[in-house]
Amino acid sequence: MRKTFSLFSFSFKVLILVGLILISSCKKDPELPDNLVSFETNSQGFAATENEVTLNLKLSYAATVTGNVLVNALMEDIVYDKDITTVPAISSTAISIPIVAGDLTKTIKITKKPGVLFDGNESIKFTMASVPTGLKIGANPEIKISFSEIVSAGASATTIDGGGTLYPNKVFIDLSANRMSSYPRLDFDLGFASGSDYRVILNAANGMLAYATSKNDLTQVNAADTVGLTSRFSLNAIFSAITGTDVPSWISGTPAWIDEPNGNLAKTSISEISVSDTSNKVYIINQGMGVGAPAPALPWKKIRILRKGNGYLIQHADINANTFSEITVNKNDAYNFQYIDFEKGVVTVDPPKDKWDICWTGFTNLTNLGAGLVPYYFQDVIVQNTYKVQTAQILNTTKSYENFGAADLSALDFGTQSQIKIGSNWRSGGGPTSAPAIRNDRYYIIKDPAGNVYKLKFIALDSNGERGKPRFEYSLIK
Amino acid sequence: MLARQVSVFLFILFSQLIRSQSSIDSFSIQTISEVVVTGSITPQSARQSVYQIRSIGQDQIKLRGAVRIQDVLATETNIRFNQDLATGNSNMSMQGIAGQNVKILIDGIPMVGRQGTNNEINLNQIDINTIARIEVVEGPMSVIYGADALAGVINIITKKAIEGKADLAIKIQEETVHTEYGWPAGIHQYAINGGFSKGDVYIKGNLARNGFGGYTGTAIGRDYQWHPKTQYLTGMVLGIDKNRFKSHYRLDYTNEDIFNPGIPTSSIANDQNYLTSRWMHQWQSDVHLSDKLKLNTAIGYTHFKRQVQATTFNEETNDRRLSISPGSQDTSVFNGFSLRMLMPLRITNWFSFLPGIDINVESGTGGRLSSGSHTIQDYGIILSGDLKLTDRLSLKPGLRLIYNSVYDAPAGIPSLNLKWDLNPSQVFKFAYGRGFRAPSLRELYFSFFDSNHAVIGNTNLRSELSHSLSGSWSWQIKNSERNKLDFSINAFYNTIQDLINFGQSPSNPQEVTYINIDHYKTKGFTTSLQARNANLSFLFTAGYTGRYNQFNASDKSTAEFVWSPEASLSASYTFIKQKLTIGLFQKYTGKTPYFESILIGGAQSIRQSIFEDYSWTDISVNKNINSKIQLSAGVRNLFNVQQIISNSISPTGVHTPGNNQSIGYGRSGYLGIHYSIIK
Repeated sequence: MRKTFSLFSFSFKVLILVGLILISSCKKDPELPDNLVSFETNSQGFAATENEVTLNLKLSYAATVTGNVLVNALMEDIVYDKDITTVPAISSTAISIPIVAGDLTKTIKITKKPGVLFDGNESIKFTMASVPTGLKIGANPEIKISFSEIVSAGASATTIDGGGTLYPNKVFIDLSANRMSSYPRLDFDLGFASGSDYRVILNAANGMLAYATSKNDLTQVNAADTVGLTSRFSLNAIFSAITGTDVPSWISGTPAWIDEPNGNLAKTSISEISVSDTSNKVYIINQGMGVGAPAPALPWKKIRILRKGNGYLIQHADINANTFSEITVNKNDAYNFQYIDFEKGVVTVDPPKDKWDICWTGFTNLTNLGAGLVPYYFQDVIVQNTYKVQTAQILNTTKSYENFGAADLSALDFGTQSQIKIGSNWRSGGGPTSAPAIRNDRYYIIKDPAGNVYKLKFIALDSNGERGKPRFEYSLIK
Repeated sequence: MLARQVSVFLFILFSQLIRSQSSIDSFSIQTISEVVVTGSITPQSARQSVYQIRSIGQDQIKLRGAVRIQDVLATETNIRFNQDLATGNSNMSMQGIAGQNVKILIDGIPMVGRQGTNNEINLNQIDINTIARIEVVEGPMSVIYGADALAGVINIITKKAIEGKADLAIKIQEETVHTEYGWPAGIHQYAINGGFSKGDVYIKGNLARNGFGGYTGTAIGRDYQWHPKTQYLTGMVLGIDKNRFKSHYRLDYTNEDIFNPGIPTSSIANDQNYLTSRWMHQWQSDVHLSDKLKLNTAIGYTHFKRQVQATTFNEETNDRRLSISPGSQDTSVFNGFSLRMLMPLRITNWFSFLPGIDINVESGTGGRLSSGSHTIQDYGIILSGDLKLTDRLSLKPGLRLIYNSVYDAPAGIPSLNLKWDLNPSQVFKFAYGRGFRAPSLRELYFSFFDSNHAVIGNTNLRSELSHSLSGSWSWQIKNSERNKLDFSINAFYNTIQDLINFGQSPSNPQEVTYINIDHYKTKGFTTSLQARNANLSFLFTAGYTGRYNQFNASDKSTAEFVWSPEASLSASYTFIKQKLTIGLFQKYTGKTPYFESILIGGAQSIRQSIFEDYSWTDISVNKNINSKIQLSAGVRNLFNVQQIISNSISPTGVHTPGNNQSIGYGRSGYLGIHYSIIK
C-alpha cells in the first residue's frame, strides 16, 4: 500500500514539474509597437509661385482606433479666411482632424486666397495638441510653414514614406525645401526626355522591359511576334532561367531589355527616336508588376514612337489589337522627362527638375547572380536627379559624419556621377542568410541644383520592422 | 600528425590488450553483443541481425558528457554534420547522402517536423539523458520504415524503467562555448529523470533544460556567429509489462527558442526568435496471440509548431515590440499520425512470415506553403519474411506496397537481406534494397513570390528513388569472456534517381519550381577493428566515400566520383581501483573535393574545389566518487576546428576561397556531475 502510494506520489511530482516547466517556457508575443502620429517634416516653405501646400500627418501603421487629432495653429501676420483657407478648416485657432480605422496619412491643405500678396514674413506653426487614445504623438509634433521659399538647415529622423513593403511609391526629396513628394509608381509608363535628346525611358520602378522587334508597323506586330518571348520576357523568367546549372544563352541578351541603370540616355533600351519614321521600330513592352503580394503581372503592350515637331508621338496598343492609340508628348524643359500613362495620356509624376535632389524608389538594376549581368529588381534604391545634382560617398573612416563641414568641401571631389551613385550602396543587400541592413559606415554629400550642399546619412531601413519606410537625417553644410 | 597520433595510440592500446587485466566493469565504446531492435520485432544481437547495425550505448553518451545527440554521432564514420548558421540548426549527411534521406525514429516511431530547405529532422531536439542507445543502420530501410529511410535509419531507443526498482538521476553540466562562459553564455544542462516500477506497471519521467548561450566569436555588438538556443525537454512513460502483453504510452514535449538578434540601426534592431514546440505521443503494444503469432502495434501522433517571431528591440529603452511588417511573422504547424501493425507469424522452424501495415498521415500549414492545410496520406503494406535456408544461411526478402494520396510514390519496393555465417566467428551480410524519399510539404506546396522570384511547389513530383547495395564481412578474431577482438569490412553503393531540385517550371517558365531532375550516387567502404577487455574498449574505423559529381553528366572531362577519406577512433580505458575512466574520441575527415559551376571572365565554367580536412577530437574523464555520485570532465574539439575552408583551383591556378562550412565553434571544456540512486 505504501509503495503504491509512493508510485502515485512520484508520478504526481513528475507531472507537476512538467506542468511548471511548460508554463514557464511558453513565449508570448510582445505588444504591437506604438502607433505614432507625426508631421512628415518640421518646417516647410510656401513659395510665392505656389498657391497651395499640402502637409502630411503620418501614422506608423494603419489606425485601429477612431477619434480626432487636435492641431493648434499659431498664425503670424495671417488672418484665416482673408489670407488663406485650410482643409480641414481652422476653427478659431485649432484644426480637428478625424481619424478612422485604416487611416495611414492625413493631410492639411493650405490654399492662398486669390489676389492676396505675401511679403515672406508670414508663417503658421501647427502643433499637435492631442491624439485619440491608442495613438501617440511622434517625432515631429509641430511644423512651421513659412510663406517664402526656405533653405532647410536639415532635419533629424526624417521618414521616407515609400508606402511599405510593397514599394508602391516613388518618393522625391527636396532637401532644401524639406519636402517629400510621393507618386505611385503605377501612375506612369514611359518617360520622354526634355532638352535636345530624343530618348524614351522605361518605368524602372515597375520592372518594365522593352524588346525591339524588326517591324516598323504596329498593326503588323501580334502574338506571333511574342513566340519564344513568353518564357523569357519577365524578371521572374530571367531569374527562373538562371536557377539551373545550364544557363540558357539568351540570358546574355537580357540587359538590353532595360535602360542603362546609370541613367546614361545614350544607352536606353529603346533606341533614339529617329527623324526618319521608318527607322523607328515597334517595341514589345512588359509593363512589369503591379502592387500586391504577390505582385500581379501587368499586361504586355506594343509601342512605336516617332518624332512630332519638337516632341514625340507614341503609338500604343495591346499586343493583339489591330488598331492603336496615339499620344502626343511635348517637351517641357522645366522637367527632366515628360511622362505618359497609356490610359491617361500625359501625367505629372515627378517635381520640376530643380525641385528635387534624390528619389527613393524600387529600381530595375543589373546584377550578377552567377550567370553574368541580368536585370534584377532592387528595392530601396536612391536615384539622384541627373539635372545638376552631384553626390559623393564618404566613409566614416575618412571623416566622421559629425565632423564633416564646409571646410572639407574644397578638398572634396564629387567624381563621376551616375543616377544610382547612391543607389543601393547605402544598405547591404542581404541574402539567403541575412536581412538587408543599413550600412552605418558611410554617409553622403549632396549638392542640390541651387548649389546648397548637404550631408545626409541613412539611419534605418525600416520602421517597426516594416521595410519601405527608411529614415535619414541631413544637415546643411553650405 | 594524425598518423602519428593514431599509431601511438594503437601501440598503447594493444600493449594493454595483451596484458589483459582481471576485473569487470569497464565502459564500453560499442558492446559487441549489443542488443538491437531496429528492423526486427524481437531484440537480437547486432551480429545476429541481418542488418548492419551500429549501436551507441548510454555508457558512451555518459562518458563523453554529451549534451546533444550530435556530440556523439559527429565522430562516427559515414556521418557528417555542419552548422547552418542562419537557422541555428545543424545539417547531417550519411554515406555522403543528405540528412533528409535519413529517417529518425524514437523507439521505432518516426519523428515529424522536417524543417527548412533541407527538410531535416532536428536530432538535437531530443533529451539525450533519456537515451538508452542510438541504433544506426546505413542503407535503405524503406520496406519497413517507409519514406525517407533511403540513406539509413537512426533509431533512438529510450531508457526503460528498472524492474522492481525506483530510480532517480540528476545531471548538471557546465560547458564553455570555446572561451565564452557565464550566464547565459556557455552551455548549461540540467536534467532530472526518474522511474518507478512495481509488479507489471512502471512509470518514468524526465525533464531537462539545455541552455546554449550562443557563440559570439568575431561577431560585433549584439550579433552572434552561432545563435543562442534554449531548450526545455520533458516526457513521461506509463507502461505495463506482462509476460505475453507489453504496452506503453510515451509523451514527449520539446520547446526550443533560438534567438537571432538583428544589428541595431539608430538603436532599433530587428530581432527574430525561432520557436519550436513538439508534442509527440506514442503508444506501443506487443501481444503474444499464440506461440506462433504476435501482434505489434505502434501508434504515434505529433503536433509540431515552428514560429518565426519577429520583433523590434530598442536598445536604449529595452522596449520590445512585435514587428508589423507583412510576412515577417510566420507559424508553421505540422501534424503527423502514424500507425504501424506487424504480425510476425512463425509458420515453421525455418520460415517466419512478417506481414504488416503502415499508415502515415502528415498535414501542414504556414511556412510559406500555399494557403490552407495540406495533407499527405501514405499507406503501406509490408510483406516480409525470415527464411532459414540452412543453419548458417538466412534470407530476409521484403516488399512494401505503397499508395500515396498526393505525390507519385513507387508502387512497390523490394528488399533482400542475406546473412551467411561462414563459421562461428565469421559472418557475411549482404543487402539490396530500394529506398525512397517523399517530397516534403515544402517541395509540394511552397509558394513564394516577390519582385524577382516566383517559386512554387509541385504536386506532380515523384519520390526520390534509390537502389542500394551493401555487403559486409565481419570476423570475431577473439571472443573470450574477457577479451574480444572484431574486425569487419563493409562496402556500399547507392544510386538515387529523380532527385528533387529547383528548375524552371515546364508549365510556366516564369516560375521556379521543384522538379525531379538530378541523379546521384555514392559508394564507398569502411573497415573497422574493435577490441575490448576489462579495462579497455577500442574501436578504430576507416572509410573512403565517393560522391557523384553532378557535372559529370554534361562534362565527361570531370571525374564521375570525388573521394574523401575518414578515420575515427574511439577508445576508453578504466582504472578499476580508482573508478576512473578516460576516453578519447577522434574523427579525421579528409579533404572533400567537389565540382562547382562558376563564372570566369563572363563564361560559365566548371572547376574543382576542395573542402579542407580537419580532425575532431574529444577527450573525457569520468570518476565515480561513490555509488551515487559521478564526476565528469572533458575537452571537446581539442584541435579548435571552427570553419573548414573550401579552396578552389581556378584554371589560372589561383587559389580562391569559396564556400566555408561551419563545423564547430572551437575548443571547449566541460564539467559535469551525475547523481543517481536506485532503490
